[in-house]
Amino acid sequence: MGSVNIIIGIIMVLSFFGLVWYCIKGYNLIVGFFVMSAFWTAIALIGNAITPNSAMVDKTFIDVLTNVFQTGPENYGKAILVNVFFGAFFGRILIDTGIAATLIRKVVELGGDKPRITMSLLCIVTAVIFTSMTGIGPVISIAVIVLPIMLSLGIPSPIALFAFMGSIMAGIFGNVVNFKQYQAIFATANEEYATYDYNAYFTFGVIGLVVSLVIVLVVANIALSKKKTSYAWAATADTGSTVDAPVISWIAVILPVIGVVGLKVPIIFGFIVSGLYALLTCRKLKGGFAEICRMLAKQFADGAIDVAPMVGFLLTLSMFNSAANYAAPYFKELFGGAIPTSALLLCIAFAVLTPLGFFRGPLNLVGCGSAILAVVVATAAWPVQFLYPLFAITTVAPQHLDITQSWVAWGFGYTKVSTRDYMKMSIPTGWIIGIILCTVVFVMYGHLV
Amino acid sequence: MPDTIRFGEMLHHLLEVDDDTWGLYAFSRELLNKRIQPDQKLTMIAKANACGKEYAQKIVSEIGSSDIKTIAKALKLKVEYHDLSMIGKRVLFARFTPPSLIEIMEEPILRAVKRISEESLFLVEEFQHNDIIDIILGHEIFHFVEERYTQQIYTRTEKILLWKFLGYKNYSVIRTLGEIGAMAFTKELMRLSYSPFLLDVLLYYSYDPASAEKIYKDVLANQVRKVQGTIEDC
Repeated sequence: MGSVNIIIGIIMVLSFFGLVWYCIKGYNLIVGFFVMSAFWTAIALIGNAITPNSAMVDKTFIDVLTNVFQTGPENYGKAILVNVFFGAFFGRILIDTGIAATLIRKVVELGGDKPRITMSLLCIVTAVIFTSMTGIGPVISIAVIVLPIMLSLGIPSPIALFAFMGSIMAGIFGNVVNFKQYQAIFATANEEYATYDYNAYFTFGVIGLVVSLVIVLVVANIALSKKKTSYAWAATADTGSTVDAPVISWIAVILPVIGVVGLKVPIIFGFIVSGLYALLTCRKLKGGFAEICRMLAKQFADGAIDVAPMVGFLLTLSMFNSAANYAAPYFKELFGGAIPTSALLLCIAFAVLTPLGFFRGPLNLVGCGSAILAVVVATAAWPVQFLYPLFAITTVAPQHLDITQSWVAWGFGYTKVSTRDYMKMSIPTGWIIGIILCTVVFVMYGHLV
Repeated sequence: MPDTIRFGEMLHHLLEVDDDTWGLYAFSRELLNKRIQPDQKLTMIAKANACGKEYAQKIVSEIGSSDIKTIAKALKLKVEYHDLSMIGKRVLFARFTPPSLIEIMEEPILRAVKRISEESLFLVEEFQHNDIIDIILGHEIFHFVEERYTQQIYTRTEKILLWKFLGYKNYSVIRTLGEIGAMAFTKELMRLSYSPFLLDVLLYYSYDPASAEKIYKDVLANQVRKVQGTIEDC
């Protein structure tokens, strides 16, 4: 009967490669992950009919369907969707008040006509902004300011796109909303992991941000030394001469993180207070109560639209996560013996295999990684303080540099950069970041295992 | 002024715009625009224009010809033609990459020539395909000249102080001065009666007429401010 499990495991692995192909082709991920959820659930049910699946003990056919297609998205919604919506609302406020654009313009005025310095400053401010903001809408809003500036400084478009997307990726290491997303996946894999919070992760998040930003800047600067900066004659209708947001409002960008870490406030409360602070200091709370209500409602609605595709994806991803739990016994049959049980070996494995986080691969929590997470969790009693950062590395770094990331895909269309030129920089960068940060995890948390 | 202006009418108006106004328009696109005082801008524009003319005469006397393509050949510049042009709302016309590569985007030129063929004979004759290419090539040759004379040419030696900290001072060149100089350089070489900045509207129009009209209105607004002496709004 073991051979049946192995055959099913192989079919699942092959279907994963099908998903990679699907992602590379740029097809819709919501549909792709729904189909994968249905497919893995179906073959796990067939497998269970032949030889019992340990994850389906005492569960009826309907129980399994309920768990995958109902309970999964419901629990996910409770855990993160509210955070995503309020994060998007806050992001929309930063855009509408002009705070994000002002910060960008100010760093350009600091750097001046020195492409390397100004690019580095732009990347730093972008990373800081994306510790709080999320979603494709805010990314595009910032990109249409930052990318033309980099291009006007003569930075080649592949390097400009890579540096910008890389600095977003660095910011995501410290992003509260993203933390909540991945933590929800961990809680699905093991209920005890639900106690792990952002404060416990924060130190590593900051290290991840700094290390990845440094690597992105080093790679971008090396690429820049191979291609000289150019002088372009280009026309644009946009003068960029909007009114600057007041200095006192600038801190709003990091207020949610300060609130969560320093004051231990709940994140949604943090987003609301930070948003109101931004609106107040930028003198947007005027025109009477009705007008302010209308503005807030519009900003919330615009924020919701910004993250609507991501929410749809997250809900089908949650189905896939639940289906992955039923697939885990087959993966364990195939790979169980190969999963390391010591902290050092696991860190080495993650460092070496970081590229498997690209293309929504098996080490990527917002890809096929939830299945591997279930297998890893089953092999040993890993402390979450050790295991979470490892999966965060192989999820955040590859995923947010990856061509399957919605805003990266948008960037290709916007800048006309070829995926080949971009991936020459993004894949080595993701790998280097993985190696360094896995080492950091071992040093910081290896003793907990 | 009507809400929408005919393409030909815009071009006729722009042919009359003076170099100072075009310079102020160029500054309105400068990243460091807000760091430069209004009176400084007019002085810089005048110097950048004079610089462009001076180096045009220098190159003509060095090479013995004012023909743009002959100059490019004599300076051993590698000229390539590409299709890539529009990135977001930004239409790229050409690019100079040191030491000697000039890339000219053909698409906006072909589109403009096609569009202008519907206009009056005067405009058709004024903006022929080869003339537009020469204007763009001339502009990019100036950036090569800037590289060659980088230690002494005004457009590279004029700098503004961005900040100072514990005795360290961070200065920056002003990229726009290079653009203004390049226009003056080309105007002098080709003996044009108008500023090559006009191509910003001409070449943009076929991509996005509404945005081209916005550029046109920006130029005219700068003209009005200059006349009224209120250039601090630029």
